[in-house]
Order: sequence, then structure tokens, then C-alpha cells
Amino acid sequence: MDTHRRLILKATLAAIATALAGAGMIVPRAAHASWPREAFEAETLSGAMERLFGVAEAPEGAVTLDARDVADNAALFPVTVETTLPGVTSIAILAAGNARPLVAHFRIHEDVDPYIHARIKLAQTTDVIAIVEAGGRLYSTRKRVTVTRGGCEG
Amino acid sequence: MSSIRIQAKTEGDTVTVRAMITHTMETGRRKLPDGSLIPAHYIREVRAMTNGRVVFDADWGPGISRNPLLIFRYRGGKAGDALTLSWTDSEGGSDHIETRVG
Repeated sequence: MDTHRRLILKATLAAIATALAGAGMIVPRAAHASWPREAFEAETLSGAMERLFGVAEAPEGAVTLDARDVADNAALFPVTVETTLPGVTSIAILAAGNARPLVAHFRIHEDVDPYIHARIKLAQTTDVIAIVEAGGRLYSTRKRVTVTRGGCEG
Repeated sequence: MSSIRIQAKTEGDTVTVRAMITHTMETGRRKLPDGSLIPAHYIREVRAMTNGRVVFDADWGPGISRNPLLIFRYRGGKAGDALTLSWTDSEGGSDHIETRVG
């Protein structure tokens, strides 16, 4: 199945699961995969992307990543990701230079704002990448963050 | 004693939820002075629900900082709604809290 159709299928299944969950008919977690171990254990950015989204990279655009240029505390680095895209189904945060680049993946359900604030660990100066999945497509943005004092093993 | 402190506030049509979870979020890659590794222990799944709908649904790895703070926003809620937040971790631990939207 090509990637575009696979993403549409995943988004459709997620939408169905959300609708059923809203009707109180199922526990949402049962409708899709459990914790994606392989994606979280991937040791490269492209590997994490492949395991989570089925593609190694996503085109830049339409995603706002709000984060400082320099991490004073590499163990506690705040990031905010948001977008004005409609039909957002998920948001992911990755740190390319971490031993395990995938930091978090958030499923965005109906009537939930596509807005995420999180505090993450950075192992070293690296690109922080935000991925938005919307309408069956992927969008990304990245920002180089400098770690000044040591790093934090992630 | 709950590991979760949470506040859910309506701002117009939007409810903004701020939660802080007390959790070590240990990566499993840190070493003790004797060279041995501190075992991994981190939250993997976080979920919040209100009125039968999921409003927060996250998979986390150990790259999320210790004592995680999370902020999210959803529409269609109102003051007085019950909201539940729960988490499970890599060692089979879990916790949850219920709050009222203010």
C-alpha cells in the first residue's frame, strides 16, 4: 500500500475510533496500536520516522515550533508545537541528536486544539523536529538548538 | 498521594488543561558512580478523557523531561465537567486523577 493511502487509512481509522469513543462504545486505545516500541527505540531520525509514519521524512511547512535557540538546561527544554492546519490527527516531537530521536507522539482527537507544550531532554546540540499529521499528509519544521553545558542522555 | 497536579480552566469555548506529573522519567542510560546503569523507568502512555471523549492521548519515551509538565486545549467543554487524566509507565506503574473543569 503506498504511503499516501496508508496515511489516509490510518487517519480514517483514527477518526472512526474517535467517533466510537465519543459515543462511549469503545475504549479508544483498543482501536489502534499499543505503545510503539520500535519507533521509540529507533536510533536514527529517519528510522524513527519510518517506524512511526512509514516515511523517512516530511516536507517542511505549516508547523510552528516555538523553542529557544539555546538550551540552558538540556534536561528540561520547553517546546511548543502548533499549527493552523485543519484535520490534524497527530503531532510528533523528535530530537535528531538524541540516542533515541523520537521523544513523543500525540494523537489529536476531534475538537482538540493542535497544540502541544512539552519539556524534553536534549543529548547534545541538535535539530528539534516537529511533525504534524493532517488530512492524511505529513508536515514538518525543524530548529537547531544549541546545548551549552553538557547534554542529557535521552 | 497523587502523582498528578492538574488544573482545567474554561477560557471562552476552550478548556485549557495544565498538569504536572511527579515521575522520574529515567532513561536507562544514566550511570551511578560505580558505573552501573540506573534502570529505565518512564511514562509511556498518558490519556485524558471528559464527557466520554478523549482530549489528550500521548505516547511518550524517556526523552520527555523528569516531572513532566503538559498543557493541552480542547473545545466543547464547560465548567463543572469531570475530566480524568491517567498515565502508565514502563514498569507497569500507573496513576490517575479526576478533576472538575473550572
